[in-house]
Amino acid sequence: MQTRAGAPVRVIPTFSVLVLALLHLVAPRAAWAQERPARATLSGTVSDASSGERLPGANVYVPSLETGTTTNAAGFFSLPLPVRIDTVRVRVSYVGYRTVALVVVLSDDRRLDIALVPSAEAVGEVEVVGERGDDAVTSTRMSTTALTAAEVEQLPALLGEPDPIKAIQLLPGVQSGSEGQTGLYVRGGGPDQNLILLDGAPVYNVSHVLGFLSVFNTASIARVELTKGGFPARYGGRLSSVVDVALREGNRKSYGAEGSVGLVASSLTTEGPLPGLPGSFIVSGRRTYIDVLARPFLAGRTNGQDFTSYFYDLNARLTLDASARDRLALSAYLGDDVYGTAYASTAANGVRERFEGGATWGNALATLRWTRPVSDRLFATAALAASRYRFVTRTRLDQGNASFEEIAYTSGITDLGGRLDAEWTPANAHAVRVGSGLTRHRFNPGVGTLRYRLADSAAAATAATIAEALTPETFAYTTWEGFAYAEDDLRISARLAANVGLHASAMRVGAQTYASLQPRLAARVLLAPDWSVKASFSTMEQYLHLLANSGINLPTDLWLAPTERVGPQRAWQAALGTTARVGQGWTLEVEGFYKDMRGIIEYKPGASFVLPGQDWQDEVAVGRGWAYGAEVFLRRSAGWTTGWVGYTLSFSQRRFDDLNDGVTFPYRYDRRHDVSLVLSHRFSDALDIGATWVYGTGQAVTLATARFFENGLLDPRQLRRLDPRNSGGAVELPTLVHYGSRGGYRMAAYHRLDLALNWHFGGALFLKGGESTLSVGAYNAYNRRNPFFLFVTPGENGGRVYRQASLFPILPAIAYRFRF
Amino acid sequence: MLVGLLLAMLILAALMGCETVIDVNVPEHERQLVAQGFFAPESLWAVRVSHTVGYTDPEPPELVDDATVEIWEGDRMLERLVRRDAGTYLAVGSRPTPGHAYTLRVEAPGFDPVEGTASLPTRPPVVAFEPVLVEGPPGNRRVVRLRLTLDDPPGEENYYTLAVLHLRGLVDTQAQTVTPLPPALFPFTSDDPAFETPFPNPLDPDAPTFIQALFRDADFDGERRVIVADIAYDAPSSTGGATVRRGFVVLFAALSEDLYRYAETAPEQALFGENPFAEPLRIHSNLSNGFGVFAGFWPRVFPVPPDTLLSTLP
Repeated sequence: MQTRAGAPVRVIPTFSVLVLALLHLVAPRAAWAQERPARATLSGTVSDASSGERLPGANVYVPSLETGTTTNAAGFFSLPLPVRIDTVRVRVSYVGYRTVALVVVLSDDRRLDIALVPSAEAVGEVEVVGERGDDAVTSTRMSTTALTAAEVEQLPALLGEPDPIKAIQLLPGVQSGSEGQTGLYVRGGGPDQNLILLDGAPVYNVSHVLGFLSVFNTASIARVELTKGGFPARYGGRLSSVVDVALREGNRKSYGAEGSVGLVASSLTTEGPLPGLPGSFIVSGRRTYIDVLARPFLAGRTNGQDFTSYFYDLNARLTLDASARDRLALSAYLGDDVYGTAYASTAANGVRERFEGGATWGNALATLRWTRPVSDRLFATAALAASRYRFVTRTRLDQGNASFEEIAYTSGITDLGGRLDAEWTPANAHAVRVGSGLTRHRFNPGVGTLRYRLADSAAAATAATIAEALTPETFAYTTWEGFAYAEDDLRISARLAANVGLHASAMRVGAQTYASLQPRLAARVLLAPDWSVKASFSTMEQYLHLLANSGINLPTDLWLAPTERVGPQRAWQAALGTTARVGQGWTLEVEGFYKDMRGIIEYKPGASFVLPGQDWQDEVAVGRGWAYGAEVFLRRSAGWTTGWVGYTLSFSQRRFDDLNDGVTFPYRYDRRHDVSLVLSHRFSDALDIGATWVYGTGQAVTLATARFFENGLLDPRQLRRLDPRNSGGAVELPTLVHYGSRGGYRMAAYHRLDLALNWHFGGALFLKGGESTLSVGAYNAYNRRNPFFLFVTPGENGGRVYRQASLFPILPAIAYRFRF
Repeated sequence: MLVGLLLAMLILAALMGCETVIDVNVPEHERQLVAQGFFAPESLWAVRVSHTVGYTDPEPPELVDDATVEIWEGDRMLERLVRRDAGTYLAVGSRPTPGHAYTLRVEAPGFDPVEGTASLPTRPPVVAFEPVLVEGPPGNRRVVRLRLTLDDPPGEENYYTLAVLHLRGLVDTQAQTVTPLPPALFPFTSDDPAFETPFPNPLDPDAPTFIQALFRDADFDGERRVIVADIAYDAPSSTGGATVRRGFVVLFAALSEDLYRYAETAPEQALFGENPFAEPLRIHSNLSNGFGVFAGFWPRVFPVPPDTLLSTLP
């Protein structure tokens, strides 16, 4: 193989060579043989013309050949073409940008670095016509949707905080769980079955404020991609979805800042070129300030009690062009939720004491990525990633004479890992990817510690602090997880294309090794230039379990490795669908799917927490789940009016030997009908509106239906004692409660309308230049009382009444965003 | 507990501001019969019958006095039980014997008939019982270690329970009378991994403590298993002219699967029923069209001799 300059390529990882050799054996050799003698490769990058930032996921399409590709995560593309065509017309498009059409002379390999102009800046633009459908129709990938940060920001948001996870919840096949939550339940899967990546580093808990906001700050995000089926072999480790969040690189041409001031949080982002170096940076911070705002109002009403309640997050990315080909990117995230209380009082013995208690949880992530287009057809990536999720709760009582007592509980997971990936496009008929990686997981499923100092009056000054572990030191443990994959995007004929791959993975836990081979297959038949039919089959293996409470996202949810009793989770999924462009800028996707999951866990009835030292395996049941359904996704991604209509019909079932008497029951988030309408409309450059309406079948919950006597162990020898004539009163038998079938009752349907009005105007923070946006809106605009949970209260006649708690009434939102 | 408390406070604080509440109509409950009958070898059949009420109903459940309660073996009715007390029906002649399956049929006006079939479990395979005093005089503290050796029958699922009954009496040496105090279940500790559901022991959280241990032979099917449990107590004390006399009895029983599942679920519902984060616990029943359990058990009783008869300290 030769590079554009004719230099031989030498840098191919050993593993990659082996896998490529294997693929060479199984691939259609005829196609290779025909194209090898006469071909040229069009390669290069696609970037934002105004900022110089690379654009991942941009479409590069040659209409005359009905072939194309998309840029990878580094904004690079490689498209081998038959050289006998002297000139080709190449169309480059990306949502939110003006499409570029180029005529390229193909006498040899060509490198094209293409800059796209954002649609808002396109001079004389009346209506921006999107070309996104090219990829959606021709790609072998299905069950995949990408959203840009701009699309997310246009949507109405809870408390005025745009949230990419909330935007994903509006896509078909994705359920949101309870009101306002950031949990993702994809195609009948659980919240642990989603691999959520921030620049390649796994995020183990995406929740702020107990799940009402996610950790992703839209200001620092370039793109979010959801894959819920037809997984290419490059993905693994989770059963149900991959949410790939890419951070922005930062403006490479000029310095700038943008920020927002909302009802609960403000954020500030700065970006620009690296001084004296070829590269860019972006730093973004966000913090809530409810506690600060509320403090003056609470003064004098809390009996000296002080409250802390906030979260913050910081995102940063540095991108450095180490050479003309080599690029380094360092991404980092740090965020915590901090909640607590403190007060001082005088104890009965007259000693002044101070109590502090609270909880903190959050993620810390870092990724270092090196990318290099080794040749026009080979692109290599190496990455190191670290991720830590930690939950800490602590209470401390300080008394006089320097004595204190402190109890702390810590849980979490820490990952350190690395991976190598190579993308090789040897011919127009093949786009090969290979890679491998290794991750060290350090699990801490809950360690309690007690520290205290007993101050005896005589030895108060010298009393030593004593620390005791409330759980064994061996409670935390380490596992290793590795994977390797190979996939080929095959163009078998003009109409038929397939993505064939194999993902191999293994996890070492103590002396036990779990391993699996996961074949992946996706195929596309092009019925017409604007219409394709797709099918996919994928198997997935997940070694990690999440012990999660049903209901809301709690920071105490524990990630755990498989054991002999509770093995890995595994699933297979088949999907069949069709994609068509049905008008200018419109895309219609219809898919049906079936997913089977084994080895999934649920808390046993009555259990909800695992205390320090408790064996979690005793608290869970292992069983099977399956889901099937159909999804319709009609989307318009360009023009004055954009948005989508999503509809999902789905059935999600579970069966556990130890639950519900072994009888099949509906998953809590089994939602028969799920509708989302998402609309953004630009009235002018200065004014646009966003509206979303969602509808979902009510959640399946378990209700108490009857009460009855616990009739007792009726041993004839006890009859005399239990006889009311002997005891002098009526027999008092305890009463038990009968619960109906698990998930046998449906709460009321959920529906909600959110509105947002965005007014854009010149000037930022009273400065000349720049631009501002004032957003006003309403969450739950028609004040629907949606069910959050059910509970029981005493009734007027001595009975009981079931009542429904609703969380959010109509909530106004106002936010101001500026940029200069 | 600490974590749960803190989280509950956080969640309440977060949610109280915006919570609204409305009533919910739930489906009407159709009342059903509840029958409960446990039997042991050679015991008289005894069944108590009551009926359910809807969970939201103001009335309490009631015992049913006009039921027809029958015990069948195959197609042959063994006996129609006679109402003895409120809701209580008793056999006069027939008794359960091992190796037979019996069917309980209960009918009452206004209710669907209920029916369930059960048999006695295998005889408890205890081959040795050894109580040993491991801590004793001169101190006041006594610890008795109980060792039960089982030869678990192979190839079948077996279910067991172990409990210690505390027998006490006030001895008045002057009046030469003994006033019995009510017997009670006495807590014991054990590290046996098969034992389920330890009881929270605030005095010694590290020691798995049980009031009644339920366990199955999943890990020792067909094997010899030595069950070790400790009971700890203070030596008898005298108050005025009265002395407390202590005695212990170890109850070991083989349970049918239905009784095991019932005994597993009923107390746990009482313990965890109010946990708002947990999925509710259903009480096991083996009766069709109703609730309750008809199940057999096979008890054995092992008295623990007084201190002086126990072997000396090692």
